[in-house]
Amino acid sequence: MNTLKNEPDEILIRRVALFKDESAFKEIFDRYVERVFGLIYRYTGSYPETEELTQDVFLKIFNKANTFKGHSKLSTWIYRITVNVCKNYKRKKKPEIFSIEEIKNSQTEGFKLKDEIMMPDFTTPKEILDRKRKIAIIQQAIERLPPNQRVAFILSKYHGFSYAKIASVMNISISAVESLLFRAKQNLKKLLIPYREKGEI
Amino acid sequence: MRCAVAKRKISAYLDGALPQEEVTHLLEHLNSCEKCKKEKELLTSILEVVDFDKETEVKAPAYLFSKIQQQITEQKTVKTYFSLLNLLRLISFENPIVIRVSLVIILIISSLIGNYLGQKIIAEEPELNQEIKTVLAINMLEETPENSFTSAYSGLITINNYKQ
Repeated sequence: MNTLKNEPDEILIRRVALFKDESAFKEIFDRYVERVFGLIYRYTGSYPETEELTQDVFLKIFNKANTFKGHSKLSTWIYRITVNVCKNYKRKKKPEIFSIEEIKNSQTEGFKLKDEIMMPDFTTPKEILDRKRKIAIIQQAIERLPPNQRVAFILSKYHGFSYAKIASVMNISISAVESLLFRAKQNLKKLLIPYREKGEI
Repeated sequence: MRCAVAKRKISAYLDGALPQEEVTHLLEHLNSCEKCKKEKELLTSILEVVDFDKETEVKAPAYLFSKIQQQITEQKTVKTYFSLLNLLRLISFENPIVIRVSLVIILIISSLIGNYLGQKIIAEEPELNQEIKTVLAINMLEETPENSFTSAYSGLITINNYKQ
């Protein structure tokens, strides 16, 4: 196992492709699981569905390892698979839309879904509550973006991708990325302004 | 610079994706246009809120890999099942060679069966005629005078036996 830690991605994926090497696969999993999981979670906003889709992504990596031709980096290839899984996913339930009143009235246990997120240490319960409210509002706004805008926005803001890298992962031109991110920001502005005016965020 | 153009450039600028020479142009415009300046400030503050969310830790559960491993194992079982199916498909009627061979076999078998049945019928013919005679004609033969129409008819039916 330790010898695998120093192997480059390309060697690992080749071992999976040729020998279905499960320890090489485990190493790839360890390297990429947080990125894949994070992207899907930001996209779906649901933990159970994120788990399911993350499994789908890694099964695809395992089964289709031989289709990785090395024209791009392994990370780009994995992101591509993840983005496709996200876009093919049909939301099982409508995203919950909390009204401001609901958010105000809810106690700390109010956000069952979002509660699973681990919280950094905060001093007072009020701060925790404020933080949870804010996060819930932002996450819901992002979840309501159209799929392509959502993917581009998450890759840009949460994964720190350049426009060129987003273009390569999404298989579109750089100017298309620019336009997706412009529209994503405009939509977020529309969604978040009401909360801002009421001082919720 | 028109405001519509500036609006798009603000987005790229905030993502750090605007080339330096365009940044200068944009900032010049923002200094002279109050509306675009407001837009930039508003978007900046909204993206700050997103930055705030970025700190939330999202962590994959530790059991996830064993779940995937389990699915890989299940997949293998399904695969062996399908490879069995493939073996069956090889000898199924989708294969043209199989079709030809099986047609020849059917032909041989059916001619063998036909031959056997034919032999059997020939061998059993006297018996069969006897039976027919018993069922249909015997009474008639006994009760009808020779050379009458009825006897000629019954003679036709049991022609072989009658000759004997």
